[in-house]
Order: sequence, then C-alpha cells, then structure tokens
Amino acid sequence: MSSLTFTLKEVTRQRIDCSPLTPNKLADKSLADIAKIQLVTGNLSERADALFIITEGDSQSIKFKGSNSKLDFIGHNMTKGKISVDGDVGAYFGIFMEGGLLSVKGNSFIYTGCEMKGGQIKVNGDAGDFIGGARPGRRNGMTGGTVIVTGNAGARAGDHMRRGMILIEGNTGDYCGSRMISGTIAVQGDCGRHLGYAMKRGTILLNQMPTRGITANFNDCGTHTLGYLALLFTSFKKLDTTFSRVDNFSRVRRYAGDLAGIGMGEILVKI
Amino acid sequence: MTEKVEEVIRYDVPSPFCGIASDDLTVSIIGQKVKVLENGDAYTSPGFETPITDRAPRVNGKEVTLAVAVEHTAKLLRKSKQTVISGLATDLNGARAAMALADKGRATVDHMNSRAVFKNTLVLQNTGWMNTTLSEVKNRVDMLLIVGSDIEAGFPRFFERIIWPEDTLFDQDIESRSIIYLGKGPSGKASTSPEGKKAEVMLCDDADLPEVLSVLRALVAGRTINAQEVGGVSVTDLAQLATRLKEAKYSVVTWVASMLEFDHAEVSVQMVCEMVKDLNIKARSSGLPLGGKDGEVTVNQVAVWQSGYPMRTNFNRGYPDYDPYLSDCLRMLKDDEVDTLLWVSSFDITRKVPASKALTVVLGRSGMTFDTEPAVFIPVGTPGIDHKGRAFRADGVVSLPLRQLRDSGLPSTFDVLSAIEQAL
Amino acid sequence: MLMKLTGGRIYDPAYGINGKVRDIYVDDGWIVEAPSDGKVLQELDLRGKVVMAGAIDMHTHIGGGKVNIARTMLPEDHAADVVARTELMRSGCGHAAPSTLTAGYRYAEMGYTAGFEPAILPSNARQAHMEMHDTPIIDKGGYVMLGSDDYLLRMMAANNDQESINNYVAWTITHSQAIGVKVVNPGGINAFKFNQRKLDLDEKNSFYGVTPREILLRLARAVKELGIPHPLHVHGCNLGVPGNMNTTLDTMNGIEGLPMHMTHIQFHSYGTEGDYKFSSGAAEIAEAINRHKNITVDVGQILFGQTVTASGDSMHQHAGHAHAHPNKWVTMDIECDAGCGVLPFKYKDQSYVNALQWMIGLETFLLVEDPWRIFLTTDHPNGAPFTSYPHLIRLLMDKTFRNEVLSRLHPEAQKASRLASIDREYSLYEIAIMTRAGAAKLVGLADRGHLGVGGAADITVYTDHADREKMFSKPDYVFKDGRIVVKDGDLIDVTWGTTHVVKPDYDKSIETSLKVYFDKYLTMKMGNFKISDDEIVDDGRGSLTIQPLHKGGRI
Repeated sequence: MSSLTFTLKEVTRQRIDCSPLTPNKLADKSLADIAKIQLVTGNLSERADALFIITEGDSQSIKFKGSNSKLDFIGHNMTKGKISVDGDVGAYFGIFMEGGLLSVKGNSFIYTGCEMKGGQIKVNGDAGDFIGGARPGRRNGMTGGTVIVTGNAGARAGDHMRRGMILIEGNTGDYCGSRMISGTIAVQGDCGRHLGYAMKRGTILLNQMPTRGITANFNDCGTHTLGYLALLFTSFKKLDTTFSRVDNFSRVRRYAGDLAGIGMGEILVKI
Repeated sequence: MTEKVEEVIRYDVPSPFCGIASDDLTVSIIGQKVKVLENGDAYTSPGFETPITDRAPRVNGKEVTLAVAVEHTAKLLRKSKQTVISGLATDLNGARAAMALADKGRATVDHMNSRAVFKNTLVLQNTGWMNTTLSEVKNRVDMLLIVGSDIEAGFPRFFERIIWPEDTLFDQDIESRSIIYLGKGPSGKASTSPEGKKAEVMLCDDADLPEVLSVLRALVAGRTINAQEVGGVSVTDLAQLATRLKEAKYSVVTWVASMLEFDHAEVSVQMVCEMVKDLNIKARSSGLPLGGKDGEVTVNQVAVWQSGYPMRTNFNRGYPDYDPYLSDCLRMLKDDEVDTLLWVSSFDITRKVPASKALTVVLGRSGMTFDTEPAVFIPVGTPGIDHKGRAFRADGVVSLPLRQLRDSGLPSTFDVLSAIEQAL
Repeated sequence: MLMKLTGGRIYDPAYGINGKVRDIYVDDGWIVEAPSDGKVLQELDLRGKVVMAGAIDMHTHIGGGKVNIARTMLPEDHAADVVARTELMRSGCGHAAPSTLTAGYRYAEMGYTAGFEPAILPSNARQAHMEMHDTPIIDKGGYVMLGSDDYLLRMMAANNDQESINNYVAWTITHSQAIGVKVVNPGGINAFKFNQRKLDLDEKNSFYGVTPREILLRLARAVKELGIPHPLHVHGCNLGVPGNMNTTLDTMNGIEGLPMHMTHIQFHSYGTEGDYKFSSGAAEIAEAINRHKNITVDVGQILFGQTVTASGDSMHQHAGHAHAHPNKWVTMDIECDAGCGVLPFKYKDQSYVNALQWMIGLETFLLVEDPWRIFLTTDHPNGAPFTSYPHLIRLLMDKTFRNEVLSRLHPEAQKASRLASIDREYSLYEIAIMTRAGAAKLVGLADRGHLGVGGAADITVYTDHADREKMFSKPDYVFKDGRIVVKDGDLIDVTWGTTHVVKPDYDKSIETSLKVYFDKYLTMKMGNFKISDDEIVDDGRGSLTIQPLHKGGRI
C-alpha cells in the first residue's frame, strides 16, 4: 500500500504546526477526518486539506512532499510507523519521539530529536542547532533513540543529552556536546569551538583531532585501548549511515572534562 | 501679550535611561524644554533633552488624528495572521497595555534587547543563580570581577555611584577594593580608585572567554589544569584569581549581557553563575547582571507575572506559549513570518525599527526617524518626562516612580495601546 | 441595588452564628439592615445552602520579586497548566506559581475574597503592589519585612530606645503601604551576608552583635505599641532544621506575653528522634500554643506533589539547595534590606520526611484547641499551591478520608505519628473561624470576615456536600462587594479588590536621618522609595482601604 501523502500546496508565510499528522494520531482515521484536522498556523488554524493536498494511503507510512523549513513538529510524540519528508523541515523534528522512523531528504531546523526517547531520525541534509536538546527550562534532552545527520550539524548538538546516540557524518558547529549528561555523539568531520562545554558525562567520539584542538577545560588523559568501542561500532552496523562502514578502532586519545564541573565527560580521538 | 515661561527645577529625578536608575538628577524645565543640570551622563542627558518635534500621528505618511491612527491600527491587527508587538521600550503601564493587547490580539511579544536579556533569562530557567543588588554591592564588595564587559561604556556612572562611595555601612576602606577585568579592558578611568589605584586587567577575546571561564571555575573547584595558558591568559594567573575569589569576603562577579556579543553566551553566563554558587560553599559571593535599559527589565517582569513567561511568548493559540527561539522577533521578521509588527520605542530616539516586509505600526518617541515610513506612526510621550510611570532597575528588585516633567500633550503608550485594544 | 439573600444557613463566628437560618440584605456593596418597608429589588433563594463570609488567606505568596523569580524559573510548571483566554478572563497559566490573573480568578472561584502577601521587602514593595494590582477580584495587602535590615539592626546595636524603633516601624509600614510587620529568620537573612550559616535564637549576628530574640522583642513591642492589629508575623529561626521544635518553644516562651503570630509552624516543629533523626514535635508545639494565649499560628501544611518554595529566608534556602527538585534555584541578597531564596521542590508520599511533614501539619491543626488562634495555610506555594485548600479542608473535616490517605503513606512515618489516633473533625463553624472570622480579626480587617450589618458584602455560598473537597472547590455563589462574581464555581464577572493598609502615626523628624542614610549608603533616594497612595490607585482599578488601629495605638 502506498504512503498517506501530504503535499504542501504553497509556501506559507507563517509556520505550520504539523504535530497532529503522525502514524499514531492518524491510525484508523478516514480521509475525510484527516482532511478536517485543524493545523495551527500563525494565530489561527486551518484544515489540513486547506494547506496540503492529501493523498490516501497507509497512515503508518506517511510522506510529506514539497515540505519546507516552516513545517514544525513533524513526528511529534511518534511511537511507531514511518514519516519521510521530501524537502526541508522546520523546528522540533521528532520531538518526544519514542519509536518508528523519521527521515528528511533536506535540512532540519532547530531542536531535531528534542527530548526524544526512542526511534530513529535521519537527516539527509544539514541539521540545525540543539540536536537532541531539551526545551528551555527543562533539564533533560534526548533519553534514547538515534539521530543520524549526513550533512553538517549546527551548534549545541546533544545539549543536555541524557542517553541515546547522535551520529554526524559531516562537521558540527560550536558547543557540540554542551552540558551533556550522558549518551554518545560521534562525529566524522570537524568540530567547531568549545567542544564538550559544561559536559558532565557522556562520550564524544571523533575520527580525527579537531582543527582547533581540544580546549584547556579538558585534561589529556593519554592514549587508551577501549574495548567497549567495538560494541559501539557493532551497533553502528545496523544503522543507515556511513558510520556503519567506518573501520572499527579501539585506540584513542582520551580527554576528560569539563573540569569546571564533575569532569566525567570524555572526548575520544582516534589515534 | 507674551507670557514669560518660568524655569522649574526638579530634584531627585529618576532616569529611565541609565539602567541603574540613577535618581539623583537635577533637571531644569522651561516650557517643553528639559535640561539635565546635575548628574546626567551619556545616556541620561540625551534621553531627557531630546526635543519634541512631531506631534501628529501619521498613516502612510499623512497626518491624521489619534483616533484615526488607532482605528487603522486595529484594522491591521484584525486581519493580521501573525502580529508581533516588539520594541517595547516602555514603562510599567505601557507593558501592561501591551500584554493585554497581545492577549486579545493573539500576538507575539518580544523586546528590542531580548538578544542580550535572554543570555541571562535562559540561565535563570536552567540552573538559577546567587545574585545581589546595587546597594549590597555598594556597601560590601571587596573584589569585583568584571567578565567580558567594559562597564563604563554602557553604565557611565556605575563606578561613581556603586563602587567608589564616600562611606560604606561596614567601614570598608574603599581603596582596598580590587577591580579585575577578565576579557575586555576598561575604555576609560572610571574603574580607577579615587586615589589612583588602577583596575587589574586580564585580556582575552570574546571567542576565548567561554574557555577561560570554564578553566577559572575548575580552578575554583581545586582542579588541576594541565594547560599553561588559555585564550592568552596564563593559567597561573587564573589560579591566583581563583584563590583571591575564595578568600574574598563578598566578591561580586558582574557582566553586561549586551556586551557578551557572541552566540550562545548564555552558556558562559551559566558557567559564571555556577562558579558563584561554588564560591558560596565556603565564602560569600554574588552575581550582578547589568542591564535594565529601554524598559527591558520592566517588560519582562510584567510579562512574567501576567502570563507566566518572559518575552518571546506568543498568544497564537489563545494562551501563553513560550519559545525563545521561534518567537524571536528579529528571526521572525528575517524569515518573513510576520504580517504586522507593532513597534514601541518611547525612550531612545536613535533605536531603529528593524527592516522587514511586515506592515509596521510604530508608537515612537517624537522625532524618531525611519528608513521606510511605517504604515502608522503615533508619537508617544516618554515615561519620566511626559507622563508619570514606573520602571524597574537593572537588578530586577528595585523599581522607581518616574515623574511627569512637562505637559506635552503627547499620549502615553498605555493610552494608545489601550485604545487599540478597545478598538479591536 | 437592594438584594435579599433568603433562607441560607449562616456561619458567622464573628457574631456567634452557628448554622442559624437567616436572611442577609446587600446594598451597594455592603451588608445592610432589612428594609423597613420590606421592599427589595432582587432576591436570591439560598434555602438549604451554607453561607459564610468570603474566605481570607492571611499568608500567601502572591506578589513580589521572589514570586516572579519562581515564575520565570519554571516554564515547565506553566506549560503543564495553561489557561485559555475567554470573553471574561485573560489567559494565563501555572500550577505552583500561577500568573497573577489566573491566581485571582482561581481564588475567587474557590470562594476567597482576600489574600495577603506575607513577605514584602520594603525595597521591593512597589513590585509586590504592582503584582497584587494585577490580581483580580480579591482584596489584597501585605506584611512588610523587617529584622534583617541594616537600619534596624544598627539602631538595636546602638541601643536606641523603643520609641525610635516604633517610629521607624511606623514609617516603614506606612510607606510600604502594608498592613502588618513580618520578620523572617530574624537577623538571619542579614547574617548570611556576613557568611554566617546559621543563627539560633540567642546567637549574635556577627556584625551587629544582636540576637534574634532581641529583634523579636523589639519588633513585637513596636507592633503592639503602635496599635497595629496584626501581631508581629514571625517566620522563626532554623526553618526546616531537625530539632527546631525547641527553638520554636523557646521563641514562644521568650516573647514576654506580647502578641506574636508564628507562621507555617509545621516547618518549625521537628524533633530528632528515631532512625531518621526526624520526628514530630506537633504535640509539644500544640500544647505550647494552647497554653500561650498571646500566640497565633498558621500551619503551612504540605501536600504531595511538585511545587516551588519561595521565601525571604536566603540563609536556609541556600542551606537546603541540594534538595531542589528540579535542580535549579536562586538566592538573592537585597539592598541591605533583606534577601530571598527560591527552590523548586517535590513532596513525595513515599519519603519518610515528607510523609511525616504532612502528618505534623495535620496533627497541629487537630491538637490546637482554639480555632481563633490557628489558620489554614499551605504557605502557598511553599507547602502546596493554594488550589489544594479544599482538599486540606476535607482532611480536617473527614477523619475517615484522612486516615485513608494516611494509610497509603510511608509506613515508618505512619508509625512515627499519632495522627491515626486523633479523632477530631473540624466543624463548618470552626472552618469559618479559621478562614473567615479569625483571619479577619488577625489581619485587622474591621469590615470583612463577617456577615454583620456594616460589613462588606463579600459572601460565599456553598452546597452542603458530604464530600467537603467538592463542597469547598465549587461555591454556588461568591459575592465580592455585593456583586456576584462566581456562580457554580465559575467566574461570571471580574471586579478589582481594594488594598488594605494601616497608617500608624510616626514622628516626621525620623525622615531627617533616614534621608541622610538613603543618600549616603543606599542607591535610591528616600523620596523615591516611598510608595504614594496614587500608585496604589494607579489606573483606577486600585483603591486603598485604611483599616483602624487598636485603641490607644500611638507612639
């Protein structure tokens, strides 16, 4: 059966809250009911069929076409099924997600995987700031699941991350791993400034030394052979990412920090 | 028959312009002309002395009555699918009227200084802090650590009023106060003591400041840092600073958020605030965020008690919804999401309305100029000059009554926004 | 417009009326005599209904800097409880730290017609009044904090006479537009600025050499001699510290018979017995309250759930910061005046300490004999949000319900408390004393808290449900100044209450030295510090009601 498809009719001036359009919320809904769903845009709400051309299909496999960076909250609270987006997405892509598969062909805006608990998000373009982060005032970011970015990541990736994995095939912006509580971030490309700032615990795994080096709030703990990295690489093999083809390594240079706090975070650089 | 206009002198006039709310001004008023005679500064004096030029509201550049301008604005708001009420350089009642209008009109509220203010707000919402207020600093500070900021450039009277008083409550020898700049150095001499003791300066770039602060906090916590220098600052010097902070009786760490002009500066502010908490394990130390201009503290306070949230809150859904990233006025304008922008700017005539494609309504200080004439311009009075008001000070706790100094006939922001709300 | 409220069962303890069926006449906002000609324009049938004066919350943190810090700090508290705008009501939000408009609406919907902010810093009084101005329907007022301010402690260190202290207290209460005087951790907030981490009742502040006991005596005397009806309102030493019951007993014993109100006494009633070194001192404290007729208390009951503690007690809030949940908190040192501390907190029924705290509060309610000297509070929001009052009333009036809740709490805590064996159930009359007549008398509101002729027509009408929580959550009617503002628990009209103050005389010459003090040492002019009556009236929504002082109250 083909996907239930939402094709954006035209570029809107205001942002659109797409949170009602998930496999969970649309399961067992008729096309007529789906068409009637109110989507908040600006200071009013419109019927889904006023904003999208809706093509009947499997509600557990949803497609967005002609999407752009003003479509927010796609995949909100999802626990099952699939959403694929053709185009870019806006903010809060996969927020609160617990399961299922979410993917976007283009770029995502801020807070990709915000406070997610499980499932997988794949961004085939660049991802915005605060991947896996927590909303302001909240103290816990993502607690499970995987975010894969094939392009570059913005700033503050993994901010307040508590568990789970963020895999960045490209480069990251500044403050990657800021305020990390735990979890794993792996980066193939280069890192911006202030890597691991205010990190408490957690692991940032790097393919090579960042061009800017490691900051003074991390102490060089020397070289190590870390057996558990083999397990990590094994887990990569199952995922749809170039990380699955990266040669395993277990020899790393280990940096511990952020020394300003409890300093139990680690940056591991492949030797 | 000409009437001679008498000069009126007013004393202890509070300034809504200077952030630390100096209220020892002596002001002369002759008719509509205001002049600061004593205790002005680079912000306060121009603030008071800006003359009134235009008095008539304009719609699309044409002069109209206030009633017409109000009705036209209401019309724009009624059909606007995304309204932002920003600028919000106003006082207590201007802020109240703005919040009431935002609620009724399903608008988003933001303040012209939010980019700076949120560097502090986000920290308060994430881990909090241990802060102090100006009178405490005046009487107790023995070590003042100034982070990333050239205070006197923004607050010309700060040192004179707060750091170098003639007497303190606790018989402290003022000359014994240590002033240390970490990051930027001072642009003038205000931080030099009355007897010529200069402030100490440890320079580093903004780009390196976050790392320097992290290392400093680590040294306060007694950690060993392997590096010898960070951002051009010697780690040994930072270690000495850490020791001195721990030995101080009442250290104060201060910063001006608007001068921390780098992205994600809130994480650095947080580092400072967490360090202050660490210092309080054994000693006493407090933070002092400096700001308070253009009504930024007032408007945030009012928004919080009336809606639960500070600026960058929208009423799109009929209830307050806070999002400091999406509901950022400048971002929304840049990404062309705004139908109508209602910009309030009653203090500083040089602050410009941000350029955008939105229909713009401006409640502005008389004499304000525009790159593009707005759809509606309504000249409003300045709180503390043209009408009474109340304004909060930088440290958030203290607010002052503002005076009416002249009868200009200009409506207040409260009057105009309330009228617009009625008309909606 | 003359309205007759017919046939309700009246509970008006100020006049000793305990459930008698009587008619009430309301005209132009006031309770009036029956018309001689018997003509009324409107009549409301209240037969079978319970009628009381509007309820008065004599200790609730509804306005001021620390409350706003709490609000700013907790966006997550708000997001979980948003209130949409209606024709009648502004939008708002918040569970533990609601926005001011939402707070006013909710209070009214619960049958409350007045609330008093208990900790107004003189340097922050303007903000407290701004926030209360934006709190609809209920009357308001507050108690101004003294006792950690440099000016007072300096006077005490110099052994100034009582009259000069009285003058200063009178000046402060007048120009902060307050109705009472509060003291929080006497001298302790101040001592913390000098890096003292605790201050016992007879321990000296390291700079002034003054003890909390001395501060309490001076201020209690001032309040009495000035004729201020509200007794000195005391947040005692050692808040939250196990063993502090002794401090509390000592404080009561040492006030030399002067009127003193000890607030949120539950937090000051802890022993150190048992495996957890934390036990209930409620029996001893209640016994002392029963014995000392000059003492009044409010309980500060805790109820389980997430809330936020906001207090002037920077010393003890800092000391307890490891318990903040979530892990964020604020303390402030303020203007050589006082300070504050804000810590979010979650009370858990399976925590031994929290469960016992719950029990201690209830034990206190049930063991104190005189309902005129004990008041129903949760120290909102410190113990629980004020919206939990109906639940609390049910716990007091329904022993079966109480014991059922008790039985589900931490088992060791149950064993450490005698609550299960206490049979007492509060009557409607006693609830009316505690929340109306007694509260009005305590605060000093001559024209509220009763249903006698000449009183303001603040009236609450309930259906007599057996489920007292249901009964007290949804009044049938609430009258505020003669207007029906609530019907069937829902707001139908929005009015704006008055601010109650007292204005004791003072010798104006005090301003000579005060002005010099402000100029030299503070960062604001004395003239700008003072809050004018105009500021309370503001845009016209506000008004000032000057309540009378006790007879003979002059300096």
